[in-house]
Amino acid sequence: MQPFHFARTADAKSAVLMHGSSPKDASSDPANTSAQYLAGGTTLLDLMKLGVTRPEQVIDINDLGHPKLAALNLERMAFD
Amino acid sequence: MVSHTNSGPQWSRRNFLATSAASTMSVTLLDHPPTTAAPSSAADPRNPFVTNTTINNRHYRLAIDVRTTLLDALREHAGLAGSKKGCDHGQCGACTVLVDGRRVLSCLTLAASTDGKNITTVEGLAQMDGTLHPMQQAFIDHDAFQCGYCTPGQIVSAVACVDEGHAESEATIREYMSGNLCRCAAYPNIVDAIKQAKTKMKGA
Repeated sequence: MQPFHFARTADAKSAVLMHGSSPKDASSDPANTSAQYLAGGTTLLDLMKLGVTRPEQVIDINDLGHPKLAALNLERMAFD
Repeated sequence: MVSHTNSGPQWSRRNFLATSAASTMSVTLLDHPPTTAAPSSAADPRNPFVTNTTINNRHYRLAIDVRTTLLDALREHAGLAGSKKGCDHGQCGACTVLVDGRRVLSCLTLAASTDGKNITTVEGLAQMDGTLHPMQQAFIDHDAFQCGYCTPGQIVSAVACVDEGHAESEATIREYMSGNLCRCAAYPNIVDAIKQAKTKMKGA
């Protein structure tokens, strides 16, 4: 995994601003975009470990606490 | 071991390792406070990242590489090797820990993401006097393991499974424990153990 700048925010607006202010990668490969949002992390961190994705900045948005996601009823989805 | 050259501070691999080992509890490699939420564009990303976390009701201040996963921070820096590294890719669940009461895969969580949070590992379940958590005792009573490698993750996950209210039937237990693999296939005994611990945990 390559080193990256890490930022964490609980505010959607500042997350978007941080993402927008990060320098753009010269290559057009979307896998090499210089900033990535970190939500669950199960895909991003896995790909970063494998060197597939190499962001220069990681913006942790786990603290956004999206109310609609919290309202999902997994039990009903699994058993109804 | 001691060299007598007069060229500034002596930073050999050996004394670096010794320093790291001696400072597992409270590592302070930086003399300035953590730069939380600062636009971290100027600083070198290789600089240590300072996290302050509560692990099993003890405070830990760790200055670690920003790439360090929570699992590596626990095992290599906090000295809590109970959480196991199985696949390191989030497939086996052996590394499951609780962050603010929610179970997470510590191998796919950055330690930096848990700054200021409350972490519970398998080491934090038993009481101070050594009395086992009802779930730990239930795993022993029901032989809910063979090799035991997945067990720390299974137990932490099982405690959360009961706390979430997902241990009402065998089907829900199996569904909500499905993130924890056991290659010894002790699943029937794990389900039995969770059923036993559930009643004790509710009584407690």
